[in-house]
This record gives sequence, C-alpha cells and structure tokens, in this order.
Amino acid sequence: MLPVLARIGPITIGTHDFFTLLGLAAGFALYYRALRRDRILGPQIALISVAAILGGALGARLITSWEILDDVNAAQLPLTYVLTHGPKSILGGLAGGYLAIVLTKRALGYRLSTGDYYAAAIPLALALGRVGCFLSELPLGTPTSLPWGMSVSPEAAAAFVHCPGCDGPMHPSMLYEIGFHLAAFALIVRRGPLLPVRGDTLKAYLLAYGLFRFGIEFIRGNEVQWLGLTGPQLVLIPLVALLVIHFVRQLRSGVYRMPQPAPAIA
Amino acid sequence: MDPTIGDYIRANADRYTPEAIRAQLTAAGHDAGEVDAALAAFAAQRSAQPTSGRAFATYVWVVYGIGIAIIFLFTGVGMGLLGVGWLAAYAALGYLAGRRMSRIATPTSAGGWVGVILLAPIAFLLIGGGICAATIAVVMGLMRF
Repeated sequence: MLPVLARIGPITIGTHDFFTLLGLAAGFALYYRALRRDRILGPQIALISVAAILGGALGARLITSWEILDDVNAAQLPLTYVLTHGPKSILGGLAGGYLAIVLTKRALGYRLSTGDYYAAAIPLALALGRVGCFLSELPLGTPTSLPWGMSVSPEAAAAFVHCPGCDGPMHPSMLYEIGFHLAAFALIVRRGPLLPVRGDTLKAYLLAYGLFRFGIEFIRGNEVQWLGLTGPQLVLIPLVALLVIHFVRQLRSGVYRMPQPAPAIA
Repeated sequence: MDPTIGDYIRANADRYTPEAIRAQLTAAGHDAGEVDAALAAFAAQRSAQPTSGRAFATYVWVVYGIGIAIIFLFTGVGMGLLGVGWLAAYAALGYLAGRRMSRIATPTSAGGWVGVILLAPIAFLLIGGGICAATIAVVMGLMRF
C-alpha cells in the first residue's frame, strides 16, 4: 500500500488525490483535443465544462451522503461534514456531471450533443483514478483462492477500521476495473464513435460500465446495504434502467439507419 | 462543391456524428476531400454563433442556484443571522454577476471569457465560504439545525 506518494517539505501528496487529479487532467486534455479537432471549442463549451466539474464534484459527495448521515448525527457534526469529508463515488460524479451538462445546455439553448467528446476521456480518467484507489484503499476485494489473488501486510490492513478479508488473498477488483476502462479507451480511440448517433457512444460506454460495475461489486468487498446489494449496485439499478430505455427507444425509432445522401454527380 | 454535400450535412449534423456523415457521403460516391472541407466549414460556422446575454445570465443563476441550494440543504433554513447574512450577500453577488453577464453583447469576446473565468472561482469561494461560516457558527453555538 502507498497512501502517500511523496512528501515535499510541509506538503504531503496523497496517492489517491494525485491519481485523481492526473486522471482529470488527462481526461480534460483528451476532451479538449477532441473539441479542437471538430472545431467546436468555444465559450459555450467552456461553460458546459465548468458546470460538469461542479456537478461531478457535488454528485460524487451527495450520492454517498446517506451512508454516513447516521454517524454524522451521532457525532453531532454539522451536515456540511458530508460535503467536506464524506466518501466520494465515481458513479455519483458521473451522474452529477451528466445532469449538470444537460441542465446547462438547456439553460444556454445549446442543442448539439457533446457526449461523444467525453467518450474516450472518461475511461482514461477512470483508469488513472483507479490506480490511486488500488494503491491506497482496502479491501482490494473479497477473499479469493485464485492464483492472482493479492495479499496485504498486517500493518497496512491495521490502518483501516473496516478491512474484511484483509488477512488473506483478495480479488484485485480495482485492477479488473482498470482493465475494463483501458479496453474501452483503446476501442473508442481506435474506432472513433462506435454508434452513428451523437452522444450514443458515451451512453453505450456508460451502460457497459454500469453492467460491469454491477457485477464487479459482488467481489468488491463493499458493505451490503439492502437485499444483498451494495450501495453502488442500488444506485446503478435506476441509472442502467434509464440507459436501457434510451437504447430501446433509439432502436425502435430506427435512428441508427441513417438517411441516404444523394449520389455524387459523375 | 457539390451542394448536396452541404445540404446533407446541414440536415443531419445535429443528430449524427461527423464520422458517420462522412462515411455515408463517401459511400454515395462523394469526394472525401470535399466532404471533409464541407464538414470543417460547417463546424466553424456553427461554433461562431454567439450565445445570447440572456442565456449567460441564466447560466450564472444556475451556478449560483446550486450554491444557494447547497447552503440551504446543509445548514438548514432557520440558521440564524450569520447564515441569512451570508445568503443575502451570496444572492446579491449572483444578481450583480448575472446582470453584468447579460450585458455582454457578444459572449464570444474576451470579456465573456474573463467573466466566466472570474465567475467560477467566485462561485466555489462563496460555496466553500458559506459552508465554513455555517460550520464555525454551529461549532460556536451561534446556530442549530
């Protein structure tokens, strides 16, 4: 485990924070490059991007806030503690960012779908961010006897209040997720938009990630909240359902059959 | 340039990706270079369209609205004089910023950019400052949930 990446004088660089920022920077660089390539970089996009950051930051905290509300009340802490010190969730970040983009576009009257410009950026950012999780968070996953199961030292496990399964080999669930994101990133970069309709490549990636993450949660080691499901799984059910409804509607409308252009004049 | 290329792009650019449009046009026998040039010209034309001042003002209020919602949500409505004062200052600044933004006639100008660049940190500062002020007030017993 490597919770602290470096100490430079009085400054401590946390591993998780470093890789989160690295992922954001890499993601925004890719996003910026895609916007420049298609020549749609402008003030409106800048506003939408600022809103995405705001919405993502809020969503990441708010979606998990209910998990610690009891603790916050018991300790008589102000509710603001949830925003400043509460757990963060990438699913909440994605949902909050997405919602903020939709609302901002409505406010600005911006009609063009920009989702595909995030389609390569998000998996790259998530892959980098998960490296930070892998190096600094426990448990890595549920116990496993598979040959690639990973163990941690008792000293590292002792640093965590709850660390079920840390006394033996665990699934490196973060590495599985990194593999998924890198594969999605490579596919999107290599092939470009996977679907002809604007924004649907991002939605297809989010749907695939939602399903993948739902499965991964069974070996992630997160606390079961209700009906044998973890918090992220409960959040994923409505999000995945919305995406499925979207694609069913798209298929029914026949939108993937593009209109034929007039043939070239010889 | 073949006008059917431009017509096809205009009719489908909002719904379909440039890659898909390019593939359709070249499959119909159009010259790839002509298609690329038409797509680039269309994108440049569209990005040059200015946003109205009213839309900018709406945006400002959305950002400030989020901030106000957060402060209310996490500190409670009946939070005492300090919190009410903070909210009043926050709303007043948002109003002034919104008015300023709405007066920018061409938001694609440098003025629009400066406004946006200044606005984002101010919004964050006010949100963060409001939360800190509320936290301090709770700790000092000045207000209760």
